[in-house]
Amino acid sequence: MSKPKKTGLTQNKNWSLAWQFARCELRHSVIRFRVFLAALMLGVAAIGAVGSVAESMRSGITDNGRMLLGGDFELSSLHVTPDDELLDKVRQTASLSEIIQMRAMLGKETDTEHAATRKLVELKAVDEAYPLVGIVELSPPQTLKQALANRGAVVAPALLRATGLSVGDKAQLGEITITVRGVLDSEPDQTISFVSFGPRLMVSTATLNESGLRQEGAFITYRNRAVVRQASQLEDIITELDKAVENTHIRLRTTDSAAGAFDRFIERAERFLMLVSLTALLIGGLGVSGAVQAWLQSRMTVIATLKCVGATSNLIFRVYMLQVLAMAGLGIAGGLVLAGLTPFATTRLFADYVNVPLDPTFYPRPLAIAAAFGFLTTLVFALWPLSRTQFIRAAHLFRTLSEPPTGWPGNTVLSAIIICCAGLLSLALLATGNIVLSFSFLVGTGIALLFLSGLGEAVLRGLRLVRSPRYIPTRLALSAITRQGSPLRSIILAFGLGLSVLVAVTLSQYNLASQLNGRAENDAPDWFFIDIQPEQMTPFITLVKEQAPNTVIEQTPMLRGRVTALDGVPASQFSPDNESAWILRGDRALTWQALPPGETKIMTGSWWSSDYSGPPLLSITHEMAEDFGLAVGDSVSLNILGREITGEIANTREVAWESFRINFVFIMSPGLLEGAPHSWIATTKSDTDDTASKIEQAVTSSFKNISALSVRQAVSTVEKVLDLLGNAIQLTAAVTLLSGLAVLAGSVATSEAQRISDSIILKVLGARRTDIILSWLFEYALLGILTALVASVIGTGVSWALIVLFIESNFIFNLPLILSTAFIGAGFTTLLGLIGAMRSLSFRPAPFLRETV
Amino acid sequence: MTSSNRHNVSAQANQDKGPPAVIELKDAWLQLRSQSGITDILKGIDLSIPTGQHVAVVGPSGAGKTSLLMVMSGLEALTSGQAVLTGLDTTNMNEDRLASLRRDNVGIVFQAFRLIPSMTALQNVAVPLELSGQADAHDRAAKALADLGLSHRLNHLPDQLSGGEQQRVAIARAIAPQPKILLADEPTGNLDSTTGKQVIKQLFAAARSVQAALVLITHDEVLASQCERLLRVTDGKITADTMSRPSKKRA
Repeated sequence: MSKPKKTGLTQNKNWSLAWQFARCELRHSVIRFRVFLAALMLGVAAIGAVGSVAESMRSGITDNGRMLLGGDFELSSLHVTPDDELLDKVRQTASLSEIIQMRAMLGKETDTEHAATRKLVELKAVDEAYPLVGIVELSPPQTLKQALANRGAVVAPALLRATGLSVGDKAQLGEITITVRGVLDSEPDQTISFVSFGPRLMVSTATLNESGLRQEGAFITYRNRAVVRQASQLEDIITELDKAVENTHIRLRTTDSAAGAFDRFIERAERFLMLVSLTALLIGGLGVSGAVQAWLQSRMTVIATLKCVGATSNLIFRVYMLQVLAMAGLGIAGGLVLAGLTPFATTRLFADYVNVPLDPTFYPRPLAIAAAFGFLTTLVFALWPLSRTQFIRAAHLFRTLSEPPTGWPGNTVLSAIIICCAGLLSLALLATGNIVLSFSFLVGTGIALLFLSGLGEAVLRGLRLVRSPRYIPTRLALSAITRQGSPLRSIILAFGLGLSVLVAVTLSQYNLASQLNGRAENDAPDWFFIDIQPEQMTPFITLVKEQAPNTVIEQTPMLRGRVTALDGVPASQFSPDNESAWILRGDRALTWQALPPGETKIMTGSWWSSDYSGPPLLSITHEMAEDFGLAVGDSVSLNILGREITGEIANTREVAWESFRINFVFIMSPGLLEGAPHSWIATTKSDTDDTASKIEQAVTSSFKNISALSVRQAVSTVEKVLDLLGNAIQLTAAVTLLSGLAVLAGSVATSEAQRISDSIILKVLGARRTDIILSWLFEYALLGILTALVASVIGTGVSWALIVLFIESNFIFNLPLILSTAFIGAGFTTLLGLIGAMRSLSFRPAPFLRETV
Repeated sequence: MTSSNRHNVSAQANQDKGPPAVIELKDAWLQLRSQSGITDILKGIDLSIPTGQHVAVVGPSGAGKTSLLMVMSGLEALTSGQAVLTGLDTTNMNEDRLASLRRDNVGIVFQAFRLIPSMTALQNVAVPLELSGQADAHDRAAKALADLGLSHRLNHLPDQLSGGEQQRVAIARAIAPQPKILLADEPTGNLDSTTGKQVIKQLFAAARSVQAALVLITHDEVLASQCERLLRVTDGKITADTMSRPSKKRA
């Protein structure tokens, strides 16, 4: 007698008994949960991966905050240096280093007359104390002090490539000749930014002073970095400085905000990708629901038998609940492993954009969030089908078991589903940090699911009304789609949603790219010339007109100021989540004009009279007025060059930033600012590229202090960022499609028994393999076409909403793109459905008939 | 044994004189709703089966035999009338109470065995014992299987067993909790005749061992004749209820 295997259960403890039965049921059945596992794994992996990659970047920034900032804190100001008094105070407790940054043109010394090799550079002038934190690495190896002495310079490798300069060459910077002494292998405090207008050129402060570039009104940033002598004093010093610089032109940055803009970019990209990933998971949820239903359908006899021998509904619910949870655990674990590995795999991908050492490791928080998402999604989608186990009656054992029971779950299960939905919402909030976004996303997805489900039902009913075609394979296909338990609804729902996301993403990306290019091609000027001194304006215009009389020139005076208060309320009291918060964050360019700029659309109020000379009036963007609740008559306070100026809002106007023309948030009435040190900005637009480049050469070689920014280059820089983001979103959208495919595979698997029986009966009746294959081809092609059509409509709708309502731009409808995206996806449906179904053909009729007849 | 050595009995009379009834049906009506409308399956059946009695239920297909068995196991609720099982009125019991009633008092043997495919023979037999919280569930299950000659098959899954072995596991599962009622629906229907005979022999022995009332649905008149009482069901009614004379064999 073989020894009985003890399972350790001696008491009727409901959960342990349930687990014991569940373990038996799970034996050899993991394979039947493959769709469940795949669907859950993909969603969890996507969410976890997005979070982990974002976290790895954030932690790279946080860990290196001091190095990125170049000190414990930084006091920066535009146009003029921070007050000496303040700096002297800082010097008492900390070491200081002053850095001056601006844009400038660098040319080969021998080539000054042919300025084609002149290149816009990000100029950085450093004192001897630089760098306070980190090390500058140069090749050939030398100290920075040696390299920068006697008008020496070190440059980024990209500058050498762009200009053809080599180490040892002379180059023209402003009025002087400098010598390139080395290449910057590592610059510890290099700004993290996707948008850079030129490669780095580093010189000494003395060299900059000699170059003649440091002119009044030039767009110069002064950065004073400090390292405190006693770390314990840091907090007090920062608190003190925070108060001292409030409402002044000086900005205090600490290591927390070392890469503020980049941090915000990561946060936004993460938020968006997180929502796309969540869509993938929710589609996966449909797969979970389908798989649980299919599993329970196959276990109806077992459930009935258990009930027959005395198991209660409660116990049976637990038995199957534990199985689902065990499988969910497996799927989530798989997803977490994939997600956890992503930072390791993507470090190289982002290394070009982020100059901090990315230290890939496992990040528990995003993985925990992803796991919780997976767990709650499983519950939301599995509880309902699981609750139906209570409707399976033991009496089924004596009658034919076919369709699983339907019906609403009881109050407990319904409450649990609602709690889990609330949990999902809380998690979405935790993951995106935005309640409106999370809530509207979940509600939107819910509505989309309901809509798709209704649409699936309508299509099904419509098809049932279609007269049966005479051609047998088509007739078989139609009957397969319209019969009881047809996968049509679930395919339209899950695959349709995945495909819709892909269509929406592709179309939106196309819209953004086309508009950017379109604007750049048509309306945008060729060049922005900055740092033009007021007295250079007339010769500048003369020079440009000499080169090409038809050139359109726009020019305006410009200086920068910081918003200190809106209608008396300090700027620091406004929410950083406000859509227009960027206006309050840094220094904003502003100008003064007697007349409104051409094509200006005044939304509220009116423009001041051309000879107005009263107290300062302001014209602000209508968007800013709306976001901050400002109206005509309210005031805006600005700190300009250390002086507080308050103006009254006279009007609000519409600004099309994407036109790449000169635009300002603030335009002030003439008078007050004219006497302040300022520079001019001008744009030129020529008929041909040749003329445009001739103008740039002439201007930059004649005026050494004027820098030229190419709009085309700026567009391509923005495009690069858009592409990176777009690719990341498309990749995530592809995961949603994969989740949809998993659901499709599940549907094919579920209908396999029916398909085998159909194909065998058809074979018995004399149908050839070709007829059967054709009928399946028609079936999946029809499903594919229907899904593609649905996805085209929904995807276009979502993209339209995103472009028109959210980005507030014009929507470009691109039918070929929509249809090709949708139908490539639909092609997959057909192909995969067919491949899945082909298995059923291999069954031979005789054994099947012997078994069932 | 033929009908000649049987005599008609009244259920009431049987109850009055014999041991206590474990199954009592009073004016039992069962209607089922189908696409073609409402069909009367059982039409006012009165029946009483005492402890230890072996009853065969025969009748043509569709006569209501299986439905009668389902009512006797609490698997089907009557449309009207009363079903009292082991002294408990099942009329207003919910599914879970009925499940507990079956767990403790009713064993069922199906034509198609109905073993849980994912559990071993031992685990299958232990299920009802574990459900009732028996500490020695596995030991008792192992004994029940050993009594049926299956001690070498304890850890085999159903699909590793022959049809006869599967049915014997099913009998062990039905009998292990020592039920007062043992119901069998065509227990030999899926077996060859030799195996069928062995299984029936073991089924009777098992029922006797726990003194359970055995209700056996069968098409096989010879098999039916081995029971001491025979119910003939036709069109939802009991058309004959006969007792066999005490046979020498039984004595």
